[in-house]
Amino acid sequence: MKELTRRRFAVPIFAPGRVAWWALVAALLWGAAQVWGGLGIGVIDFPAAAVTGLLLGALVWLAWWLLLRIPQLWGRVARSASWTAALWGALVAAGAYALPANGAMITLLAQHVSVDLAQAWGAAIAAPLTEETGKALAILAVVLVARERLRTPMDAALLAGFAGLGFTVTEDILYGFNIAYLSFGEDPVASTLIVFFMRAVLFASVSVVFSALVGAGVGFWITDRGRLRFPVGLALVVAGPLLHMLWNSPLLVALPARLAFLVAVPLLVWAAIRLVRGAEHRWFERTLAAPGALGRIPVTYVDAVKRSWWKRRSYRNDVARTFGSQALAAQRRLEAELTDLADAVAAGDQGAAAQLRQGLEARLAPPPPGTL
Amino acid sequence: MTRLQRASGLVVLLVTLVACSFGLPALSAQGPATRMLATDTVVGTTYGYVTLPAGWNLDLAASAQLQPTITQGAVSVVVSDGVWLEGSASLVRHIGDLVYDGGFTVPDDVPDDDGLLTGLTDLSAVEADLETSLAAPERQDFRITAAADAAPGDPLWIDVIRYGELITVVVVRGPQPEVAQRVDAIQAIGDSLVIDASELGEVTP
Repeated sequence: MKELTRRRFAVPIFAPGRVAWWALVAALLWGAAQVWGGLGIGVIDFPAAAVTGLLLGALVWLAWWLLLRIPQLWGRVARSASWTAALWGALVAAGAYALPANGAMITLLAQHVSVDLAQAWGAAIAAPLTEETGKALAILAVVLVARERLRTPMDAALLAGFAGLGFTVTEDILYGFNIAYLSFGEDPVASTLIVFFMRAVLFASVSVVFSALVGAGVGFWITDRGRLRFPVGLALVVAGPLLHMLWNSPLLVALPARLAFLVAVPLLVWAAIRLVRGAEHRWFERTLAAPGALGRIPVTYVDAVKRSWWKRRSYRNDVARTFGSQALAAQRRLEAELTDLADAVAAGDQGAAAQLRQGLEARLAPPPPGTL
Repeated sequence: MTRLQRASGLVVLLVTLVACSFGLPALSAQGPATRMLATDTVVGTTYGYVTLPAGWNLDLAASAQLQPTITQGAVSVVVSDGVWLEGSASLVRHIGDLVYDGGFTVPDDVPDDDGLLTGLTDLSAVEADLETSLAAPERQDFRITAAADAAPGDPLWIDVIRYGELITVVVVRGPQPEVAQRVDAIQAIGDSLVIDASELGEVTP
């Protein structure tokens, strides 16, 4: 929601006083070195595939960057946090978690079980564990450096989603090289185009979805207060790696099975978004129900901030029908300012909360008795 | 967040990062790198499988990644596969360029008009291709050999086996006398190749 003025998890570019900042910088540098170690030979052998991969990767990055703005209804993630999470995914999750550990785990399977099992199920077993762990830890990295708490499951889902975005771009470029080798360098540009089309367009970058599901689960555990937070959180945390495992498994080799999977995943995402929206709404009401949070703002205005995009649109249409179309902007402003107020209260930012409350009271609160 | 929570978070980050970057690779490095094949063993490639001879050492890491690799003494044989759409003459040149650091030679009689994309403007040729090359592609064999100016570590030869657009290569390295003693076993690996790219609609004995 563009009217929101507050941003969550601003990550300082330079904060040498914070140990977590040093850990983040070290992890990014280590991850970058590992990514170069894994992809460098491809760059040297197939520079055309590298350039094509970088250009297409930038497009994928931009598309998902814009797409991940849409769910930001109850809070905006700071641009610095989005970049940090995405770079974590592209460099640390891909370079320090996935690249060294996946190969090692597949080799361990060959050593201790069988080569056949390692060939058929190695990627399905190793990748979900290492990659989903690596991407989910972007949440922890950002929260530690920003020194802020998660407010809602969506916060965690978005940070993990941005990590998934970075990861998928690195992975797509790597796959571009793999296919260039597999086709003996016949046409590296065409093979890279096909890889990006298949992975980023046709299969809709499932990596982002898997990691966002895990993030939402972690967010439920940490932020929700409901009785079902543990089972719901666990279900979401498990859903990401489980879907990833299925995606990599030989069970989905046939195209119809893969297409059925791709139909089922959006339904699951829709269900997860409904759960997360409910948790966000509960957070909003709970935060503003705290003593003194609303000041003299009538609670009925809190009820006017609806849970989802659709409900808000419907409510705004009612407002426009009743008070005229000029009331639409006022309604949007009310939704944004109350959400900002909840965020300031939840963050313990008393100065900002007081300022927002004062502005809202001036517009919305009835005058105190005796002032007329 | 309290200081304790922040410290715990940092520990979690560092422990998992070290485990994935160093722990798991170290663990797999401690296990056996190869396994002696007691009997002839069928091992998968990306688009099929080959039978590897008994008495050779199977490289577990490479084979687990669908690139069956065996060694015996100083001789190593790597089986790898891929896809090629153009003519075979450019295929063998590309493979030579990719694999050899020094010089290599390719046979003179490799055709360059047998690619899947050749003659796409000629509808009758396309129809004939669909009936033959795609439906039941014939096996073609070519050999790339090291030239006199080959670099140290370059393969002695590479057998290129083509079934339509599916390509398998058998890369042979090692000292000439030792390789010469094992020529039959190496040749049998290429002969045993079965294409099983059922998701591509191809199963070729």
